[in-house]
Amino acid sequence: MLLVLIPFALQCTSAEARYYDPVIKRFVSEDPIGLAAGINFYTYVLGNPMANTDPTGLFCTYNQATGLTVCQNNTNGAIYYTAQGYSGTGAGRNNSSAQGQQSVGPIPRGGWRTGNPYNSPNTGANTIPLTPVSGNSCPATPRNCSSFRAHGNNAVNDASHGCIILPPSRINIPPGEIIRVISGDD
Amino acid sequence: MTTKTFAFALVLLASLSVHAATTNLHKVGITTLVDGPVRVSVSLENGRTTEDCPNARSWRWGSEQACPAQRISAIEVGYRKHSVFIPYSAFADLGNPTSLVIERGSASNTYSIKIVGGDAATSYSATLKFKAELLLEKIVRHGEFPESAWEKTLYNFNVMQ
Repeated sequence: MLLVLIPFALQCTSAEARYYDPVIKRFVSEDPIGLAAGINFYTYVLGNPMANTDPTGLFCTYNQATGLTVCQNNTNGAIYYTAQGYSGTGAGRNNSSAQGQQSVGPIPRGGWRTGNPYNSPNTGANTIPLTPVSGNSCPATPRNCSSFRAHGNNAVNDASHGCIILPPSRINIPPGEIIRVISGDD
Repeated sequence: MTTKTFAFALVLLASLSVHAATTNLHKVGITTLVDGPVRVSVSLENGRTTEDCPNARSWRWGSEQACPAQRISAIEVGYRKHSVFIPYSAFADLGNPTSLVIERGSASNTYSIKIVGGDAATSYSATLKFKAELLLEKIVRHGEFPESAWEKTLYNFNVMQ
């Protein structure tokens, strides 16, 4: 058994919770987040390891249709964060087909890297900036891709013109994490 | 053309002019919108990059922690044959504008210019209120938190003869 594992360890790179094979450019173990990471458990950094990095080896996933956010602990594989959120307003709220509508639709599909939380004069305390990573669908839409954040709700439960609205516990999502936005059909 | 048909055409034109009092503001250059006695021209220019923008951290509308990709360089408003004075401060911090609307007020000689801009966390709606050739008020509200993040400026000008 040891003879089998040694060459494997020499060729593969650990991404904390799973192993990535640089030759076939795929993980050789499943992402412990399972289905929440998408239909292909073996995808790494949205299929573009040259442009994107994911030091934790894990993704958060935000579902455009349900608003559900799921993140996974990188040491023990346990889900460390789940929250019910939403994105978009009016007919665009949680409507994946409206992602291209400026100030109406939800955050576009693809990977978004979290930045350091800050206190925004507009969207409030612990606003988390979201930066699109390579392969994100946002640049192909009319949306202003530098305007997306994860922040708290307002009194009338209508605080999103495209940002991800999450409860205050969102602060548990670390900077540098990739939130993968998927449609309800993924 | 009979008088009746001519009157109908006038009514149709009037209704069309009301619907035409809104336009997109995505292109750099001058966009002009006319609604009855009100004529508005908005000039858009590309913004400075964040590295070359000393006020990036204090930019108010349409961008946050960065300078906007596009900004308004000038607004010219004409009311009937008068040119309306618009202070630079009334529009200088409205970044990434996307649409322009002229709304006619219910009171005589009143009208508003509405500029919508930004997206998601930077979305906003700005309204400049006028009476004839005088700017009265500027109200800007954040799109996602309109009751929490806003500004209101009142204007008064010396019109003594």
